Amino acid sequence: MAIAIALVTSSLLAGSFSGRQPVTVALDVGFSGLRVALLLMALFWVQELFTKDLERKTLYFVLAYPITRKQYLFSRFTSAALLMALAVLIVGGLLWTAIFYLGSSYQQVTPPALDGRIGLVLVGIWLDLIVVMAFAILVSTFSTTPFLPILVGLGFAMAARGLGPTFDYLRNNPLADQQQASVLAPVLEYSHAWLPDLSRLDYRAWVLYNLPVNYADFGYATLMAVAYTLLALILAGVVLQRRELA
Amino acid sequence: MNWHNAAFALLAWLVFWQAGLQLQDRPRPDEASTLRVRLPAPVQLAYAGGDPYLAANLNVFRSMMVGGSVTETETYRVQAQLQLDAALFNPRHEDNYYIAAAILPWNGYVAPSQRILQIAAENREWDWMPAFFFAFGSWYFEHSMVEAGKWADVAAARSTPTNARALRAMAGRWYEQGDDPRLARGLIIAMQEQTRDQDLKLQLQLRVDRLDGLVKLRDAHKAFVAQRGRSAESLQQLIGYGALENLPTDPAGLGYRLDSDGRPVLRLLNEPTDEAD
Repeated sequence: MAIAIALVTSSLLAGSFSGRQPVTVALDVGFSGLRVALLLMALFWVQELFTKDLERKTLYFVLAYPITRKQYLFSRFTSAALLMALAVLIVGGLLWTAIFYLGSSYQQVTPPALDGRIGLVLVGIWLDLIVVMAFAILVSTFSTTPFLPILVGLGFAMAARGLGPTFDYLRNNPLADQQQASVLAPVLEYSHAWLPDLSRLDYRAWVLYNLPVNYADFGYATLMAVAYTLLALILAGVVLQRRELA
Repeated sequence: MNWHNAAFALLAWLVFWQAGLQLQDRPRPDEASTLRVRLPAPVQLAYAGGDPYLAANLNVFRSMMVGGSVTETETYRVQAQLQLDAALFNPRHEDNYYIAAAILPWNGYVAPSQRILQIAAENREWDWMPAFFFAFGSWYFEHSMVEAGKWADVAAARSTPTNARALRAMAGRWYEQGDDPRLARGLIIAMQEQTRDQDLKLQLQLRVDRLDGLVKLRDAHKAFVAQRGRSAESLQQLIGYGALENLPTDPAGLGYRLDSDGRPVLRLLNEPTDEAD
């Protein structure tokens, strides 16, 4: 809750930096803050709900019940995902309310679209966080130190979110350093085979600039996120199955 | 706490207090709102947690912090770079193009500002302003009349009817000052056909007539050069060449003049009328 209030306040303050579109900038910074704050929360929850179970060996008691390790893993993930959905709803809803009521004092020429499209943006943010959580769970199944999932998860999230824009920049921008481009291009070229492009789950342009929803983009990005989440969870299940829990 | 602990604590506090007092009046290294650093775009993106929208916002906030009193080239060079990066991170950012148009070209950074405006004009399809600013920049700073006219027309198509009329009229004046009077004439006639507004049609007709006169003068000039091997020294000398029987009258009342190469051009509002015509 404190995070939500801090987030909304800072996004409204950011709006005052804008000369012509304070509401848009406030919402824009709000979405950015939402993604950063909830990312940290997601990794923290994976730590609390899963890594600590492994570390403190409370997992043994759970596994004494008639459930398999896979079932345990999937149910833990599901509860974390639902918790995250709730968090996204609450913080996103608060942001929406604040922008809707406080942001209407300045009449913008092209105001942001504060309608159902915000729901799609929040779904995108949620899927983004789900992918990161699944990946962090996978890391924690083979890590032997409790902080590895958080650090690797953070690095993974930043890489996956920044991948698409960096690639675009290097490929399409004549100003890009050609040397950088030639070194990084082959790495980035094949990266989509193993790293999800989470920037595709960022639909905020629809809301910020009142653009029509692109359902094909939404569909493919959702498929990508769900498939990657399942892949990470299946791998995590396999690793956990083989792990010596002594 | 025994007495020498208390004495040490007091001494430490005194030093701390005095040092703080000394620091208070010392100038901070970067008190003026200048810009010095522009990191490569991938690094900017990494600082923003891989979030291009945030990276764009941060760049725009930094650009807004540049005070109006700053007169230093380096700051504007960095600002131009930052804003260009912002335009690539989020091509639809409204403040970004607005600040760019308002500040950069007037401080000598025409090319980056034009690029930012072009990106904004291409991506903000509902917004006439970046297209218009781009058109203005093309005309005023780059003297590229055709580009200016094209984008002014884009701006007009995106704006409200009242605005569109004014924009088309303005673009018409730019076309007219474009270098090829026949091209400009054709474009103005096209614009005339596209508008349903009678006032504007009349205004544009004046410009067509004015350009007709210029076309005749240019033809006479060509014939003069072909026969005499040099340019005319005054407009009167052109009479009798080409199909020119007498000097055309300008319905706008401004008239024509010869430029430094002896070519007939339109006289502009702020140009003196001391030449013979």
